Amino acid sequence: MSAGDAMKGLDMHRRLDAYMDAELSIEHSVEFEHHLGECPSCQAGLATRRALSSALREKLEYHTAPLSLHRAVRNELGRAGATSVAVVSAARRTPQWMRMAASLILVAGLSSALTYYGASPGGDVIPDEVFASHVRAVESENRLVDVVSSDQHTVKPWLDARLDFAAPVKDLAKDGFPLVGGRVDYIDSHTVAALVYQSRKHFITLFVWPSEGRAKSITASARRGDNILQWSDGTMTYWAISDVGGPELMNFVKRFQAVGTS
Amino acid sequence: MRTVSDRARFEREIMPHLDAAYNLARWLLRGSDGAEDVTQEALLRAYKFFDGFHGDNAKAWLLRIVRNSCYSWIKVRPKMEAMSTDEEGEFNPEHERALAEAGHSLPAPDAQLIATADRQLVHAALERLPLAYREILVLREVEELSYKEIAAIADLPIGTVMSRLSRARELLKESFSHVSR
Repeated sequence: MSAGDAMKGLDMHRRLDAYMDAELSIEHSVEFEHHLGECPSCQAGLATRRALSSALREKLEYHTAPLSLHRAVRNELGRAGATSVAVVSAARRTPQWMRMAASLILVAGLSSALTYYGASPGGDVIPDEVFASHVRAVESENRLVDVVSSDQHTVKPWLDARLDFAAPVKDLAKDGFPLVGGRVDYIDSHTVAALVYQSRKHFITLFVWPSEGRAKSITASARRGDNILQWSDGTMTYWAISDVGGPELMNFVKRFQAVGTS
Repeated sequence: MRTVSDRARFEREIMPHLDAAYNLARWLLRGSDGAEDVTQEALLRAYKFFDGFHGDNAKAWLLRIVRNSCYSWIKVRPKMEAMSTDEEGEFNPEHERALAEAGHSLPAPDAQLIATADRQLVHAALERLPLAYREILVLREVEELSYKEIAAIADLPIGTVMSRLSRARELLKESFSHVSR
């Protein structure tokens, strides 16, 4: 390698990040790709950077604003000026994990997602009811769970005695989601099981009730600071809601789906 | 005094970025309890100066205010950022450049190891980094902002955004090998 080539190599190495971040001009990008083809160290550097980038994007906890912050800000805004209290904007940022969830739907079959929305006229009120029930329960300490136990063999019989279906209660403690307990609730004209799990200092409520029809893959939505994931396995409908970040809630759902009842 | 339409415009343009604001504050303040207060204060400041916002990038505008609020908060609590920031203040451009150049040859975990890291490890690896590097990685990788937007938020020339990001990734890579041990 000539001294000139070495200089050029150094110059190119400096473009690695900008190349990965799609911040190079087309001209520089083409030049860099040419260099990349013959520079193993830049190839390795790029692979490491891509791994770092995916790790942060997919696994880093996203701290969504807690409900208390939404309330405090709106209170203060109300005090700071105008009197009208606007409703929460639905035009929330769509985080990457939500877009991922959306693409999962596409992979799993667009038709089933469409039938779901088509066949469920009251579909839109469910997230509101799920949100209301979750927030009410989390904010009033004595209403969170009616049976307090981290043991699914205690929670399950308690629920079974009060419901006309067998709720799947799973032990996810080793996945970082210990069971807090359960309660019976009422959503969309169904008597439902509400299982409460913990994720560090946050609560996740998983609502479960029987549903017929085909399995439906996970769909994501949000209410205020809370993330909501919904799916169906063909016999039960599941709604998970929490103020943990989207990826964390997705992780919970994946764990729940992966673990069998025992 | 704000009018009802100001309030509606604020609600429409700024409030959707409340999550991004809070998440940035959480990472800048290292998950400290102050994040909620600081975000709230930043939002009120944004509301106060909303007249002055005529741009089309509400998110960058808000995050700049949040960032400033966080820095003010940290300033009066120097101990907070002092912990585990052995590399704080080390913005020697020469050093940054040398590292960016030598970057890919530093001994560090390979891509495979990083790809299989669990959530706690990713969290710990980022949390160990000094403020300026945590910040730039959250803005770039989590909020997916462009160099130009990051430059505006962190008040840096674009060239510095690039070199700092490069350095931040090197540090994160090292941090991974540290926390994986």
